[in-house]
Amino acid sequence: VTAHVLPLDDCAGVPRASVGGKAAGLGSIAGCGLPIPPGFAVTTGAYREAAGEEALAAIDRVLAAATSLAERVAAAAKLVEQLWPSTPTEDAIREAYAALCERCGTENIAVAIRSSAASEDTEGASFAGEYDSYLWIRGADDVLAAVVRCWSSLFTERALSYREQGRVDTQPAMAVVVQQMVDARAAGVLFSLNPENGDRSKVAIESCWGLGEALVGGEITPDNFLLDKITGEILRRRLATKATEVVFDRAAGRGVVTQPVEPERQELPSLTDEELETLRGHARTAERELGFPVDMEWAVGAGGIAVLQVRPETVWSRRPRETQALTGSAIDSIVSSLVHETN
Amino acid sequence: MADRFPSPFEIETPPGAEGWQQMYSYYHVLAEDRRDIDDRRFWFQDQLHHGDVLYPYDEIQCECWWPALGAFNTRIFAMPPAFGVDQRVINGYLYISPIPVDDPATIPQRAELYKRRAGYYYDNWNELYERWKVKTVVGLDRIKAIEFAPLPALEDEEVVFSARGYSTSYQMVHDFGVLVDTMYETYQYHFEFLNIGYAAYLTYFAFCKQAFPDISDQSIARMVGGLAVDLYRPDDELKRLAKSAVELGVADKIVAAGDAEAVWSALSLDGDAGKQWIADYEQTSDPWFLVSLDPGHPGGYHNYGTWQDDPTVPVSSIQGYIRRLQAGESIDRPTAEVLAERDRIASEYRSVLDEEQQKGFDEILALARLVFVYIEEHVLYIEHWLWATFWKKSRELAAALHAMDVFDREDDMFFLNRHEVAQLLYDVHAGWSVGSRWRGKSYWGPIVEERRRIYETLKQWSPPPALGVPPEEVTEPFTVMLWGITTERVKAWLAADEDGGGDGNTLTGAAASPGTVEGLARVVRAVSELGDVQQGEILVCPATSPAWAPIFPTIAAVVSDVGGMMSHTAIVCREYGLPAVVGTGYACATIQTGQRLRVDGGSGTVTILD
Repeated sequence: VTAHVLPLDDCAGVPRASVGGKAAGLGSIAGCGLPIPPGFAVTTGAYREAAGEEALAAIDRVLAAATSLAERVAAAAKLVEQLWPSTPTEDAIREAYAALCERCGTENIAVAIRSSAASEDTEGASFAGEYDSYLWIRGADDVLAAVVRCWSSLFTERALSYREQGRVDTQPAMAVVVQQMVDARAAGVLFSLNPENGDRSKVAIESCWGLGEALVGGEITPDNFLLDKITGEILRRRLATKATEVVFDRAAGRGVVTQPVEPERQELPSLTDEELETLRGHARTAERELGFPVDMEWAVGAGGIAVLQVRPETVWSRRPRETQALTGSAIDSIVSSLVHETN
Repeated sequence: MADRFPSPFEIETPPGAEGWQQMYSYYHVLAEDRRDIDDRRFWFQDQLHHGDVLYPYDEIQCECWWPALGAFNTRIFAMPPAFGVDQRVINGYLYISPIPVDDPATIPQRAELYKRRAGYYYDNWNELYERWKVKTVVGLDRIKAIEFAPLPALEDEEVVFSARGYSTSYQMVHDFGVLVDTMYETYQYHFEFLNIGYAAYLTYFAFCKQAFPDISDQSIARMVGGLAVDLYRPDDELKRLAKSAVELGVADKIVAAGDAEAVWSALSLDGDAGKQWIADYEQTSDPWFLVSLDPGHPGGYHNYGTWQDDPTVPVSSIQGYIRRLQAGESIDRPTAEVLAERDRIASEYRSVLDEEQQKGFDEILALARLVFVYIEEHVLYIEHWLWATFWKKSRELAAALHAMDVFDREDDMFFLNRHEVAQLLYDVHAGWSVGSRWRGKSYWGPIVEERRRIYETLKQWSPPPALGVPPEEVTEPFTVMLWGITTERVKAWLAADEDGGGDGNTLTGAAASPGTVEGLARVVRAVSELGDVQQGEILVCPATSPAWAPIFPTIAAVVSDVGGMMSHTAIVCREYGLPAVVGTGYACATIQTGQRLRVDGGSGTVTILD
């Protein structure tokens, strides 16, 4: 394997300029000891090598010559689509994919392929289902084709307009993440604190059937659990009626589809107590390793829970907490609690 | 749903028990002249301490705590919101009613007094507690030194040559006075630390509820418990004796011998090792096997002995421990693990607070841990050592009077209350001294027979859990903490009062120790039935006390009728990591041995699966 293909587990601490934001993020999650879907990154170096000095210069020239944004998008895409990884890199991608198939015990394992731009604005571009994600890709040839398509997402309308506004590097490069597709039975988010009151001794979990897209988008009411972060007690369960779920579109053989949930499953909890306990462990691990409260996206597949993304929690982490009545001397507290009890 | 329970004045005397009031002190029963206050109050049956009919003599137990708890709350520490807990005996059962301060306007002033007075105790807790132990043991030794024996026909020459100057019958009168007075005095000590200890603990509890919203009661308790206190010493001593038996090579003989008596005769023939072990046992026995066999709150009734009187429990426990040692099992309590987990939980909760809050948390947690040692240990000193010895001496007196033919039966004396026993002793004192005849059984005999009948009739009566007018919200801290009486519990009683029991398959109580298990029920009402319990069964009982300690390694979970988060059952189950639901009210009456149960100690529910 050349340096242009890196297992995700090895991406922690690797400069974003090389593997992009998404791969570096997944690598640091893996570095915390959390389970991520296995996979590998194709570095920005592979893109530069495929393009070569000459092609990169040609792209720059085409971009400079075009008169409208739409024209520039079309012209650049045409050039990028003609690129192909160098032979050693192509071999390395094929090898890495074969190794992934072997690791997962499945021939032609389905993978999700996503762009991982070095200068990616991490806030929105990393959600699954974005324009630069290719889901349920099978076979080495299709993987290679998808990697090239990811390269072309450097020149989407949005990317180009960002570039023109000076918000990203003028010499962009694209890395690509190839990751086992989680065929999620359930998925959701968690917070390593109680988002209702900022209490950091709790873990709040929301989950739904199928993939987490509708939940993350706030389109459905999920099951809601409150766990004691420290002891693991399940303090509250609010089960929702889950009428629909987002799943792999088996009929089409690609992409996702929203389908009704059969009535007898709608009221059932989408997570078992064991899964809740595992998620509590993940929340604790991420918070401890990263040093701040987090929110996390995850999915439950055949192989258990996989962590898809971890971000710093921003609402409560920045807010000072109520300290009133919790800071007095013991005797003052005793008297006020005794008097309070009767009022 | 009704908003009140029947008036205590509406409670009818069961047929055949008419005149039960004359068994008890006049100030302890309902009366028309106090109806105006008694009829307005909320009364609940004190199942925790006195679930059974009171023998007239045993009224003294209630009498001891009634003014003791009251004085420390009302008059000594000036507990801001609460006066004492009043008592009435109704159909032979003890009903109690917490009294709030009469004038809420005095609460701020009482709060200042409390800070100064209780604050002195909190600040000097360990030193004062050491002094407490000394004076309590002085009281114990004073009671131990008393001996009651039948009066002789003629005084011993020693009385003459020591120039003692008083007769042995006077000594009997005197000693009974000392016995009663000492018990009264030490039971005052009991409340010297208890209420303010609970107040500190409750505050810590409230702090956690505010700082960590939604935290469970048991997590709060787990940050404090798990200390190596004297309460666990009896069980620890049994384990030590089991290990020592293995080391001395007498283990097989002890196991093979069967009952306690056979163990003693087998070992006394065994040579030095056997004799050494017996000597060790006997030395350990005082005081560590002064453990009451009372299945409810220890020390509440005269008719329960201790492990010293009946070594069945300690010896069979030692045999059980030996078998487990021989099978290669560990018999030690996981004290280190429990302590490590306690400290982990506490430090992690602490870590989510900001710096100012951490200071508040540190202070109140440290105080809660400090007072908790007393909350646990006083049970051993007072309920076991003092009360067990008091009852033993009382039984000695009853036996002496029986031997002198003052009474027909050895337990007749217990059908007299303590004022009447004092009178009777004067009667005997005078009769014996002048060489004439006391009235004794010619006066008391028919009364005792009548009371015996009344007692048996009252035993068949089921006391309702509550009477009178409940408060809208139960907020009085001790009612909640000690008796586990909450607003929800009162509502459940009101509902059960109407539909006669509610859902027959589910019982709810306090979630006392986390975990969920399924297993077969074993209903046990007395320590003597503990031998029936099989490995892995779920113990269903009225309540537990330290006498039950040896059963905990055998069982999978506990369900009790009475108790709250701070009950013995709750504390020990957390120590052993067993799920427990306490204070279910009706478990013993509802569940039958052999039924399959699911006990969820996290939510406080017990489901009968059969």
